[in-house]
This record gives sequence, structure tokens and C-alpha cells, in this order.
Amino acid sequence: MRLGLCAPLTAHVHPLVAATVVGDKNQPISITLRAYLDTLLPADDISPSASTIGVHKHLLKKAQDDALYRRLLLLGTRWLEQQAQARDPVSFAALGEERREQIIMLAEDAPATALERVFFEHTRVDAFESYYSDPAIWATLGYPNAPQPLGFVGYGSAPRSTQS
Amino acid sequence: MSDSDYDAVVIGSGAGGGASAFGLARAGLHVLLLEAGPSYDPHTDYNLHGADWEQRGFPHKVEPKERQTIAPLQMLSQRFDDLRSWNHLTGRRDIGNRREAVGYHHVVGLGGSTLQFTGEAHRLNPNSMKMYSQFGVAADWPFDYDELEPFYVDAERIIGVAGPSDNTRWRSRPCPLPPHLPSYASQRLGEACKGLGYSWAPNYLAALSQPYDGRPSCNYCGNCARGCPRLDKGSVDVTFIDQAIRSGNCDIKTNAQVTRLEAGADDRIQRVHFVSADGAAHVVKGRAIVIACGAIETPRLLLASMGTHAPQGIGNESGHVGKHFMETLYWTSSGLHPDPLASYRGLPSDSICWDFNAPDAIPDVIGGCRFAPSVAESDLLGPISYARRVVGGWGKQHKAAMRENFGNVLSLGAIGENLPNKNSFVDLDPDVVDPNGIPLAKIHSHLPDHELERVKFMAHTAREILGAAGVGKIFEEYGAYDAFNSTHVFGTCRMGIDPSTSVVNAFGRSHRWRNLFITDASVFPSSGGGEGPALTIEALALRSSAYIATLATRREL
Ligand SMILES: Cc1cc2nc3c(=O)[nH]c(=O)nc-3n(C[C@H](O)[C@H](O)[C@H](O)COP(=O)(O)OP(=O)(O)OC[C@H]3O[C@@H](n4cnc5c(N)ncnc54)[C@H](O)[C@@H]3O)c2cc1C
Ligand code: SF4
Repeated sequence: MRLGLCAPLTAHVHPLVAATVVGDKNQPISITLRAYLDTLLPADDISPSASTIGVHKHLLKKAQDDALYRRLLLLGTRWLEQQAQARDPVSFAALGEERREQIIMLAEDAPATALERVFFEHTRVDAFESYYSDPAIWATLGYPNAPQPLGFVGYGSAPRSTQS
Repeated sequence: MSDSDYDAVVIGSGAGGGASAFGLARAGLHVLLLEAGPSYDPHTDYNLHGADWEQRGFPHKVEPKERQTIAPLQMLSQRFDDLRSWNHLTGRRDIGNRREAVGYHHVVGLGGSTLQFTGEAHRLNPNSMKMYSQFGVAADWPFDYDELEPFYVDAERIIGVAGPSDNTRWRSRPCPLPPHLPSYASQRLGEACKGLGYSWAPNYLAALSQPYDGRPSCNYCGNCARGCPRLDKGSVDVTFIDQAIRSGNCDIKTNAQVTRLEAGADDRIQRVHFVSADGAAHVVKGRAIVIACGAIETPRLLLASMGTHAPQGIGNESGHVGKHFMETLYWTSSGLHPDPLASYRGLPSDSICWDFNAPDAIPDVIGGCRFAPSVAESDLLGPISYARRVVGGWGKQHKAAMRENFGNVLSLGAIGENLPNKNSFVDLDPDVVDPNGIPLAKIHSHLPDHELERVKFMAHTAREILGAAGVGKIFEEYGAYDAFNSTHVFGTCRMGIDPSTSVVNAFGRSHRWRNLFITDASVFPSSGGGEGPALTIEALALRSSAYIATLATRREL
């Protein structure tokens, strides 16, 4: 069920490069990325936002090691800025939550080969992998520990309440 | 040992090779075990301790996928659309109209595929050993269950199998260890089965319910398929091979890929050729040569060893090497239970419904099946898989849904009999060779309609049981109809009485080559009704080893 990363990127990024570089508004990639990830995984009463636990750093680290992924982040965040600044000169990060969500929905609903959709699909999965690898987030789901060394004794009984 | 380096050279160290090496070494024979892959250290190689555990699968050191090729598979038909794999977020498996070649899952390493196996330790249904005489399909095993039973007892004792001791599965002795308590989630499935009038029992497992033979008991982490770092799972490396080493009679060479068997004019295998990790070529002699490379690689080695004395390949006088290939016929449905279950806890497949295991138990279909929980097999054990496959979405709603649903997945899997047919076989790929210049094995798989009717029954019954357990909506299903995706493979060097229709005799000895034996799943004449094959392979290997030891004593090898 895992999305293969390399093939879709190689197939879809290059043809779109020329078309998307134009919209650059000099917004540092990390600021846009943080705002984007915090819209995907926002803080709520129970658990922190993506950036609070460093999900953006995980993606940026991956981009450091992988040129194609770096390009994807660059083009994807530029696309977000283009959308944000289409009406007024307001950066993506400065938009209200609702407007940020609307922009992300555009990416989610775009054709499978569109840059913004490829960016959305890959970064969402990577954000999930980073966010849900954090024991602090596990605790909010009632997931007590990594499988070892403790295992799950008491496994034959009903679980304790998950929202303590 | 006048003319040989070893009394026995065993090739491959999985369920068959590991048990053979032990059985021969225990009998006092001087054994060399040759394994193509490296060894694994359970303490350092299996990482279930880190926060990133879920992102890591089994830590393959040799990529198994590139070691075989798969011929184009059959076209799919609308008739069996109900058996297509799907997920509620990603839709139907996007593969067009042809069955997809996902792969033959196995491990190249000391201990073979048991390093990754779930640990189901099943005895075969005796009725499944007589498929030809009872139903006119597959072939009969050349001996009765009773002849294998003492070797099941032996294998269970070495492993420390835990399970029920009643006689529902044809046992002469109690299981070495008491059964494991089923997980809370499995108990829900048990209640559902009871309500439907089906049975539900603790499964037989190669996982310790009490400390045994210096190994600790299981702590129910659920991740056997990522490799067990506690050593309580009875994989072959920590049981048979460990005991073979302790006997002092077994030498082991890892990273030793056997490339060719050299046949002599005297109907004996003269030498075994292998290549070590540094690329150097070696030759070794053995009075007995025992092949246990698994049901895909064993026929490959025999066919690739063709030469003057064996123009069709070694052991292939009948033309049956590679034929009668049987694969894993499976189905899995997963859904969300309304109540918290924390279903990531407990042993995989800790319970089982045997009601349809007999070859005539499924209405209008020959060949049985069985049902077991499969949250672990479906890899629905951690939050990442929930985020991607169960909950999906993003934003605040996604997070709330994760909290609402995490741990509530209930999955039920079925594995069924797979009858051999002429379009399922293994041969040599004429176009692809390995780095040593040896052609790769090419897998040809076909599922005729009667196999799909069995899958249909498996799917309908899995849905029925999940529904009765309180699962309102199924969110994911996958099965063998649209994907060749096999963990249990058999049949490609069938054993039998008649040399014109089989490759080896009832003891795994080649009908022609007097010192050649096969002790892996390739010798199965029929697959059984969904039982895990490892314990039967091990019992067969112990039986063959006892026979080889007797021949050695009588100087008849
Ligand atoms: C994920 C998974 C889960 C499973 N769960 C279960 C279960 O719960 N219960 C069960 O009964 N079965 C289970 N199985 C199946 C079981 O592991 C296999 O049926 C069994 O291990 C097969 O034994 P074998 O000896 O035939 O082959 P293998 O165990 O595959 O061993 C073959 C060995 O031969 C080596 N080899 C191959 N070619 C050469 C060569 N040319 N030279 C030297 N060495 C060579 C390979 O590297 C390998 O180590 C599972 C398998 C998998 C992958
Ligand atoms: S569930 Fe038990 S046998 Fe399986 S890996 Fe965990 S501790 Fe080992």
C-alpha cells in the first residue's frame, strides 16, 4: 500500500519546472512548509501541531539528502505561495486557517500528475510518518510504547481509556 | 568419510535445511550447512525498540525480490470482481485487468523464511494427504499421517510449540507448552464465531508461552514478521540450527551460494559447487547431498545443474522438476470495531477456526481453508498505517478520527488449499541470469476458477465473521485473485512412489541419484487446507534425516 516515491517524482516534476518557477515570492521555504504542515496536522486541545514536534525538520533533512525531493519541496511551497498571493500580497503562512485549508484542498483535488497533487501526496505521507513516530503523539492515541522491550502484557484484557 | 569432505552437505538453511542439519548432526553425522545469505543477530538486527519501528519492515540484508522473475499473469474477469483488492481511501488496486506479480516473500539468510514467519506451527490434516485417492486431484502423499506423527512430536519439542493439547489435531502427546491466551481483539472474533456456530480455538504457535530451552517467553508485541528480538519465536536459527551447532557436528558457511551440483556416471552427486561472498569459487564433497533451498530455488538449482549425465537437469528424469507449483491462496478483510480493542497487542494469528480445513468442508469446492486474526499480517499495528490506510484525510478531523479509531481494527484472514494445475510451474528464465551466470527461476502462476471459488468462500466467510463481531464497515480487503503474493510455496519436486510421476521417494531421496535428498516444501504432493507448512517441512526433514543416518550406518549412501 506504500506510495513509491521515486517513480512519480521523476515522471512528474521535470515537465512542470518551467511553469512554476515564475511564481516565486521569495518566501523562505521552511516558513511556508511549516505553515502547510501545521494545516495538515494542526494543534488541538489534545496534541501539538506538526512543527511543534519538528515534522518540518524531518522533511527538510530528507530534502538535504535527496535532490529530487528538495526540488519537490521548493516547487510545492512556491505553488502554495502563488495561490496565497494570487489575490493579495499575503504569504501562505499569514493566511487564516480556512484559506490555507482551501488552498490545500485545491492540491488534493488536482489531477494525479499535477505538481501540487504530487507534492501533497508525498508530503502528507512523510508528515504522517514523522508525526506518528513520536512517542508524545502515541500517548494521545493510547499507544503506550514501541513494541519492545516491554511488549504488551495485559493484552488479553480490554484496553484502558485512550484519552487520559 | 574416505572419499568425502562431509557425511552430509545441506544446501539452504530454512525450515527444511535447518531441521535437516540438526537431524543429521544429532545422529552423529559430520554436516556442512551451506546458506546463500548472511546470518542475523536478533538482538541487533531486529529493531522494535525505536520510535521509528513502524517504518522498518523485516531488515532484509539480501533483497529477495530480485532473485526470481514472474511470467505475465492471468487476465482478470468481471465474474470475480468481488474478489478484487481495495481500500476505502485509495480505491480498487490500480493494476488494470491483469493479475499483479507482487512477489514470492522469503528470506535469504541463516534460518531462511522462518526468520520472518508468523510462527504458526501446524500439523497437516491427514485427509489433505490423500487428495488424489479421495477426490482425484493433486497427488497422494506416499505415506500416511501416522508415519509423520512422531516427527511432528520431535519438531514441536525442539521448537517449544505452544498450543492446545486436546486431540482435535491428531496428536499422540500434549503440546510441549500450554496455549497462549488469545488477545482481547481475538476474543471478539471468537464470540462472533461462537454466535455463528463456528469453532474458535487457540492456535498452535512457535512462540514460547513459558521460558523454554534458555529462551524467554513471548511478551506479545505482535511484530513477528519484523523479526523477533527476544528469541522466543521458534525460527530455525534459534532452535534447530542452534542445537545443530551445539552438537559439535555441524559446520556452517553463510554467504555461500550453491551454483551447481556435479553429477557422476554412477548415479551419485559427486560435488557441490558454491561461490562465497568474495566471489571465490569452491567445491565440496558429501556422502549425502541434501537440498533445501525452498520450492522455487530447489528446482532452479536442479534444472541449472544439467550436464552430460543429467541432460534435463538433475533429478528431472520424470520431467516433473518445477511442475505442480502450489502458492498461497489467501484472503483478508479488515474493518473497524466500534469499541476500543488495542488490537495491536498480542501474538499474530493467535487463534484459529479449523471448521473448513478438511478437503471436503467447503460446499461444492474441493480443498479446505482456515481463518485466523490478521491485524499483524495486514501490518495494521501502528499509528502510521492507521493514518494512511484506515483514517486518511488531514487537519483537525483527521486527528480526531485517529484518536477515535486507533487500535480498533479487526482483521480476519483466510488461507486455503491450492491445487496444482499445468499452468503453475517454475522453470529457468531464458533471459535473466544472476551475477554467477546462473539463470533465475521463473515463476508461472495461474488460478483456475475452482481456486477462485474457494477464495470466494473465504471472502464471504471472513466478511460474515467480521460482521458478527460488530464490524459495521469493512475498509480494506486483499487476496490472491488479483495478486500473486506468496509466503507458502510448495510442490515443485513432488514426492511419490512412482518414479515416472514424481521426483523423490517417500524419504525425499531422488529416484535416480542415490545420495541426493530434498527436504523442503518442494516435496509436498498437496498443499493442505491452509495450514502453515513450516512444521510439516521440519517433521519431514527430521524423518529424512533419520533415514539418511540409517543408510549411512549401513554404508548404503
Ligand atoms: C512473512 C512470512 C510469514 C510466514 N508465516 C508462516 C507461519 O506462520 N507458519 C508457517 O508454517 N509458515 C509460514 N511461512 C512460510 C515458511 O516460512 C516457509 O514455508 C518455510 O520457511 C519454507 O521452508 P524451506 O526450507 O522450504 O525454505 P526457506 O525457509 O525459504 O529456506 C530456503 C533457504 O535456502 C537458501 N538458499 C536458496 N538457494 C540457495 C542456494 N543456491 N545456495 C545456498 N542457499 C540457498 C535461502 O537463502 C534460504 O535461506 C511464512 C513465510 C513468510 C515469508
Ligand atoms: S509477538 Fe512474541 S514471538 Fe512475536 S516478535 Fe513479539 S515477542 Fe517475539
